[in-house]
Amino acid sequence: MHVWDSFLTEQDKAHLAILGTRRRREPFGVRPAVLNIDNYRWVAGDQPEPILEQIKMWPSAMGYAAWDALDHIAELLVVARGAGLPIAHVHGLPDSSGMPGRRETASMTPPALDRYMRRNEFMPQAAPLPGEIVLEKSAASAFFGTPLIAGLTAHGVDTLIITGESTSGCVRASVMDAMSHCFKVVIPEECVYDRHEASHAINLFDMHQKYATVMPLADVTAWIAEWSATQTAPAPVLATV
Amino acid sequence: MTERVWDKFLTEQDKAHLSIRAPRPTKSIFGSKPAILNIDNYRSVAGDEPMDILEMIKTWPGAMGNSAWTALDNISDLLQTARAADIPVAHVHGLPFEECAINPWGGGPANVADMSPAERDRYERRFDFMPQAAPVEGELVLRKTGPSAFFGTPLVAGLTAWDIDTLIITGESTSGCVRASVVDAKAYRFNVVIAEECVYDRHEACHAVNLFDMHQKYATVLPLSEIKEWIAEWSAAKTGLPLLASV
Repeated sequence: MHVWDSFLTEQDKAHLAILGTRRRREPFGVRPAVLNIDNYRWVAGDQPEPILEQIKMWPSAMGYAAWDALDHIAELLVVARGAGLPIAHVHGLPDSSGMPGRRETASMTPPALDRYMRRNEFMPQAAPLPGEIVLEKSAASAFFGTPLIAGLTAHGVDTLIITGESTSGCVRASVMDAMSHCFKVVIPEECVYDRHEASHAINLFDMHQKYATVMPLADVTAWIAEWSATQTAPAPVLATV
Repeated sequence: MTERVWDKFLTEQDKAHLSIRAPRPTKSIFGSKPAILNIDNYRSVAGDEPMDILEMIKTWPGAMGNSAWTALDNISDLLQTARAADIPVAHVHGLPFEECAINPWGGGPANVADMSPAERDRYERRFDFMPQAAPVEGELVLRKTGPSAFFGTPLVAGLTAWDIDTLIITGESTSGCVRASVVDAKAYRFNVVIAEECVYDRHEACHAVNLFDMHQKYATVLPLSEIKEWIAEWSAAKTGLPLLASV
């Protein structure tokens, strides 16, 4: 039973049954990294609340789904850091960059302006530590207009474990670009979140069908533990970045 | 608001969320210089004749059944209107492994040696353009190795050379190459319009929810008739000639 099953039509289910099980790709390669996307204040607010309440103050927020996922991301990050995996974080390019398309702030009330100014702050559960890759982006994909690919190449990465939000937006866009660049992509299901339930479910289905392997967080952390046990020497650093 | 194809897939919470959340600021839908981007209308998604998808996939596993043939007729209609208005058209389809030695996405190359002669014939024709939506002389034709029309292709250069600011997107799959290309087009700051009857998919749920996602985030999903009306008005304004009756 998958989260997407209840959204598929009878024809969709019949189609999948006829086509049979697709030849699944190997989920993991040999050099994994974590790509942690857009876990910032704007989507979580200042405290856990039902989404339909939270959006009155934080219009883009995702309610409890965000806070639940952030705890799972924190758990994954502890395991990944313990195993020495490279970790890359992306969040929004600030207005100070001068990129066109900035929002009009003159009409905001002081509290609204305060929330807006804090929008790109990392949530503490999923925030970077010193030495981790941190990049700012101006579009949905973590790869668009950023040197992410250089950072991953320097670490010899062939597999990306992708976490964050939104499942249907920046996660989806980044997963697609990662796959186009021939990375293997794994999505720990409990570590991604969205503001719409239908979009969350169907985008997980799409990504699992086309670009990635969606699996439970426990399977991802178990794989990291096994992988870590096979690493006798520290990961080679090909270039100092 | 009239009913949209995605409405019945949204949960009660999703609908409540959309009704509470203030409407997003209205963006202009079209710019001033449109082009058509026509994606992956090739044989392996349509087969040799229209039939029910659940039958068609027994011989063409990637195919989309009657929805492909219906959309192809609509694309043909749009292309005729666009060409008459001198709107540039760009087509993309697959760059085959046999030529480029880059693995198709989602797995390794097909095992041609194990194919029957009929399977081999279908495999070799998989990227042939469907005649309803095929390029004509002078149109841009590019081949790609990833879902997005922008990935590893000079599409941006072609669009820049034409001064394009708006892409009208057609083809398949709604949830795959169309979605990927729309995301990239928006990242490059093009205005993106999707002609709803001109895109198609192998799964109904994915078609509907991906249209919802794109309409929310990246694009405007419009009926083909409204796009044709806009093209007629745009064309009339450009030439200074009176508006022609519908093409």
